[in-house]
Amino acid sequence: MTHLRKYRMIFSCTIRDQFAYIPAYLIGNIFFVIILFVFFSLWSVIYRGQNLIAGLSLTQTLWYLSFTEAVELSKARVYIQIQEEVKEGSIAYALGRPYSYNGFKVARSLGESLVKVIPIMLLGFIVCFLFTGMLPGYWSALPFGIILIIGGITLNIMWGLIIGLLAFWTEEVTPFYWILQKLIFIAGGMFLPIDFFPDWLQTAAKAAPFAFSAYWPAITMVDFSMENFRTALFGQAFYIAVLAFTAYLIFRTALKKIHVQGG
Amino acid sequence: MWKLLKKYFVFNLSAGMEYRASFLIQVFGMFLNNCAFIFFWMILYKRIGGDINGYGFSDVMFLWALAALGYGLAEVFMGNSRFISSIIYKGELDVYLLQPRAILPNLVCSRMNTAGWGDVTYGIVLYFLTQSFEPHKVLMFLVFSILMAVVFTAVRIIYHSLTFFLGNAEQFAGTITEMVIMFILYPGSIFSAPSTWILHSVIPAALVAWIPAEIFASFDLKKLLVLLSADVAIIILSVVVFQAGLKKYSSGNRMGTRI
Repeated sequence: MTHLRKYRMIFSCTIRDQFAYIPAYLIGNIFFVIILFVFFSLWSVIYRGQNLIAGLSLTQTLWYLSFTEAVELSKARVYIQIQEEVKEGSIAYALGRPYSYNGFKVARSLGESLVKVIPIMLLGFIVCFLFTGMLPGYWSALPFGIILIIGGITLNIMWGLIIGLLAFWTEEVTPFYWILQKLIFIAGGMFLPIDFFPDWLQTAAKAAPFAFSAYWPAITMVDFSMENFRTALFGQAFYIAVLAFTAYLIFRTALKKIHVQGG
Repeated sequence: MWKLLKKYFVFNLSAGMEYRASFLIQVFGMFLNNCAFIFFWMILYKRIGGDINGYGFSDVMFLWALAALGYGLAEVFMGNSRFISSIIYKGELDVYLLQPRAILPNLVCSRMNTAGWGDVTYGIVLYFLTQSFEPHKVLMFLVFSILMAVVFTAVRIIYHSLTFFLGNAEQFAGTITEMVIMFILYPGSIFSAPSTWILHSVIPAALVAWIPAEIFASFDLKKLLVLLSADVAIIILSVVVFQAGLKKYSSGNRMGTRI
C-alpha cells in the first residue's frame, strides 16, 4: 500500500496543477463544439427520411462522437514528455528517484487526462443536448460509461508510454504517434461507429485494441447493455495489461542503452 | 520582388532538405494523416449509398484534393503568414521594415513549412486517383488551388493583422483559419442559414472551396467572375488591413538579425 501511495500522490498533485489551466483549455476546445456542429449538420442530412442507420439513431450517432472525442481530446501527451527527456538527457535525473519511471508517467498522465475529460464531457453534454435532445438512457449508462472512458484514457496513456520509450532508439517519435492516432481514428471507430463498417471488417475492428480506446466506451454509453459493458471492460483490462507489460520490457531494454556522463 | 520570392523558395527548400530524414518523415506523415479521412468517406458513402445533398464521393474527394493542394501551396510558398501575430507582438517586424522590399510579400514568403509538401503531394495524387484527366479540368483544378492558397493566406493576414489593433490575436486568428480548413472538407450543401452566411464571409469556406467545386463540376462563367471578384476583394482587404495596422505598429528596442 505504501508503494501505491506515492503514485496516488503524483496523481493528485497533477490534478491540482491541471485545474489552473482549465479556462485556457476550454477556450482551446472551441473546436470540439465546431466538430459537433459539422457532424450534426452532416448526420442531419444523411438521416433525413430514416430513423436508424446501422442500428443507431441520429441522436445516438452524435452523442457517440462526443464520447469518442472526450477520450481523444483529454489525451495527455506523455510521448512528447518522454521524447524530450530522452533527447535532453534529463531522464537520468528521473531514474535515480524512488519510483518506477513508467508508473510515474502513468499516474501523472492519468491525473492530467481526468481533469481534462470532465469539462469536455460537460461541453459535449450541453452541445449534443441542444442539437438533438437528451440521449435516451444517458443517466443509467453514465456510471458504466465513466469507468470505460477512464479505461480508454488509460489505454491511450499506455500507447503514449510505449511510443515515448521508442525515443531511446529513434529520438523523433511523433510519426509513430500519427500512425497510432490514425489507427484509432479509422479502426477504432472514432468518427464513425464500427457498426457502419462493412460486415467483414466489423469483427476484426471490434476486437482490435484501438476500438477499446474509442468505440467500446462510446457505444456502451449510447447503446447500453451489460454485455457491451463486460466486453468493453474485459477488453480494456486485457489490452492495458499487455501494453503495460510491453512498456515494462521496452523500458528495461532501453535502460541498457543509457550512458550517463557526469555533469 | 519575384527574384526575392524565388530565392526564398530555393533557400527554404534547401534548408528543409538539410535534415532529409526529418523532411521525409514530415511529408510522409502528413500524407498518411490525410489518407485516414478518405477511409471515413469511403465507408460512409458505401453505407448510405447515393449522395449527400448533391455531393457524391468524387465531389468530396475534389474538395479534399483542392484543400490539400491549396493549403500545401500556402504553407510551402507563404508559410510565414501563420506567424504574423507573433512577429508583430514580439517586435520582430522591424527586420522586415528595414529591408528594401515590399513588406507584406517579403514577410509572408520568408518561411516554408516543410510538412506542406506532404499536402501538395497528397492533393495531386488524390486528384489523379479520383478526378478527370481532361486538360481543362486539370487546369481548373490547378487554378483553383493557387487561388485557394492566395485567398487562404489573405484571410490569415486579415485576422493576424488584428494584433496591430487588439494586442495578441494569435489564437483567434489561428482558430478562424483552422475553421476555414475544417469546413471546406465537408460538403457545403449540408449547412444551412444562418451558418452559410458566416461560411460565405467571416469564415470564407464557400469562396475557397465550395464555389470552385461547383464551377469544376459544371462550368459557369458568371459564377466564376463573381468568385474572382470576391477573391480579389479579400486580397485587397488583407493589404488594406495590414497597411492600416502597420501605421499603428511601434516596436521596442529589440535587436534582431535575419541571416
